[in-house]
Amino acid sequence: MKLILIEDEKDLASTIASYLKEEEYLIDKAHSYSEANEKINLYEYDCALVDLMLPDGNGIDLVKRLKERNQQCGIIIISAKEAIEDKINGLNLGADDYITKPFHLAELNARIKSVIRRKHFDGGNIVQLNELKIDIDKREVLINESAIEFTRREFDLLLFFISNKERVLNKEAIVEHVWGDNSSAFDSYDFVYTHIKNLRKKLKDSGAKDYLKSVYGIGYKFTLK
Amino acid sequence: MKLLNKISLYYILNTAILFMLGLFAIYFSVDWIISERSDGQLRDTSKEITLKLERGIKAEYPPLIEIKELVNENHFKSVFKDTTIFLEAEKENEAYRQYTIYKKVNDRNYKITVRTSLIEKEDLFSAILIILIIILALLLLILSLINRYTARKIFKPFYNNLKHLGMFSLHKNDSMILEDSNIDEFNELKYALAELSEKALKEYRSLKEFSEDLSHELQTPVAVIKAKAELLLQKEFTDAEISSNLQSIINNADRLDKLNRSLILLTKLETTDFFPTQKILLGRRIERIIDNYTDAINSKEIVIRTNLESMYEVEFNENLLDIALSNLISNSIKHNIPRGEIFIELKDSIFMIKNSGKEPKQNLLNYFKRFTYEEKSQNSLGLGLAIVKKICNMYEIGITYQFIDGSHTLVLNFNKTKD
Repeated sequence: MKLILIEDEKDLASTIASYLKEEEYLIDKAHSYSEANEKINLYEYDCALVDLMLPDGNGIDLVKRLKERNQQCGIIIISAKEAIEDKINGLNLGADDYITKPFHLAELNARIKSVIRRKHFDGGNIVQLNELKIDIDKREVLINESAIEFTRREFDLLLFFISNKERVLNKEAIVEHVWGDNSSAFDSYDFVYTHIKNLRKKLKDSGAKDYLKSVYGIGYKFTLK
Repeated sequence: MKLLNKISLYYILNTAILFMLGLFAIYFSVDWIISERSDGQLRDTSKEITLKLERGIKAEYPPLIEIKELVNENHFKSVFKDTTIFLEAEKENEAYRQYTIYKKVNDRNYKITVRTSLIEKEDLFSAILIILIIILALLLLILSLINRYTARKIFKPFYNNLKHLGMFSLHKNDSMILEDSNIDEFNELKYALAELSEKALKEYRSLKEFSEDLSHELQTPVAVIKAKAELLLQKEFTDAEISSNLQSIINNADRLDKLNRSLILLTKLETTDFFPTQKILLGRRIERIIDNYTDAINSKEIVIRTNLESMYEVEFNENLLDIALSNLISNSIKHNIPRGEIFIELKDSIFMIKNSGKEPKQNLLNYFKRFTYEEKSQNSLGLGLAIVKKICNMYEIGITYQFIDGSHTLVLNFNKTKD
């Protein structure tokens, strides 16, 4: 998988790149409109992360260019502005997702995976991991080929964990991904523990291995090791 | 008091005083002229009577001419005198000016008195007074007509501009539409106002732009801090101090992020004139939002009861409605006590949300202001109700907040015409 990361803030770009490195993507970084434009013309990418506000041009034009070059390229817009017009405009031009700064790296990672899955696996949108098989479109989980009932939150949790396997996820990132804007109603994130406990129990009871580990004081980690 | 009336009042007072002085001046001068004239006439008549007496004609004509023969020779001086004589015919006293001379004609002593009827002083005075009063009344009439005309014509641009000034609001973001006048002062005022409003708007806009830019500029460094901290998190430090510090950095960066987003929203609410609206079934919307909060409600073991009318429809911006309702519902959970209660009701246009909770330490109205909270906590920015209030103001929705019998009660009236 070849990715292009178009972001003028070098510090942020390098942080994102080093987080994504472990996913075994080939990552090209571009820090300006002209640099990005040059790279888009030279290479083909499977996925592009595009910051809309660049010092020498508007990222929206790059979205258009990327689409023209390769229909299969998944595009995620990164913007500092939570402007609905930008969002609609970007999505209309062929961007697949829109994420506002600042974001959790785990969230970005999950979104990239989701976009790539949608773009590059024809037919079913399915994630397979050892004995686990998740049909994302149907929101179905199969363990050793038998369907197991998961609640909406449990399903979202599981998918988020699998998208970020081998990574430490802090409670904030988990809550924000699964509960979204509603997270503000919670006094503490202790309830996450209850949901993860339930998820773990269901997985174990259905014959899956115990992949979820808690990381003291921080959060959780889904690991195959 | 209106300027015109004030000026008129001064004008009338001064005119009245002048008229009073005029009244006396006219009265005395007319009186003087008349008596001079009649005295001269009386002198001439007395001379003529004397001449006639010399010729032996005693031309008596009482009471105007009286001739009396005296026994002794007198040397009284001739004298003018005002007097009144009772007239039989008229049956009343009439005023006369009389001139009495003592003359020796043909060796006989005579007292000759000639009189002329006088205009009575009261008559003269009242005649002048009446004339002046009529003139004053006419003057007042003309003045009030002029005032009405000027108020309507000349002052019209002034009053209109005053109305525009009263309606001027920086939020509305449009400059005042001012009327021209052919009065220099009003025009100067107009230009001064136009310039002032332009300047105020410009300052206001640049301030808004600044806060908007600032908020957006902040997003990037916050994003870098968050990303770096999360990257470090992957190292799985065994040292508890390092990981707790790291967690604290992430928490605070998160808080900064949320704060910033809320401020961006508030600024947007202040600067945007129009948000697209659509028809929304309010009851359904509330149900859906409550549904989103199920986990938060359950985790605190709160009992929630609802009584929602399903058919009430509002014309609203979808996002803003969600934000306002979410803030209210999330507050009712956050500021609730464990195993507390929430009651949500929608009856016609009245939305009520009631929740158990601690007694507020501050005046309830303060909670509508920015950065007001009971205690600082990770999850309370002190902006929630300020945002709700702003949205309510935008759509002219009445909002009240009360603390009754241990319950926080917020009531929103979605029907602007009622209330």
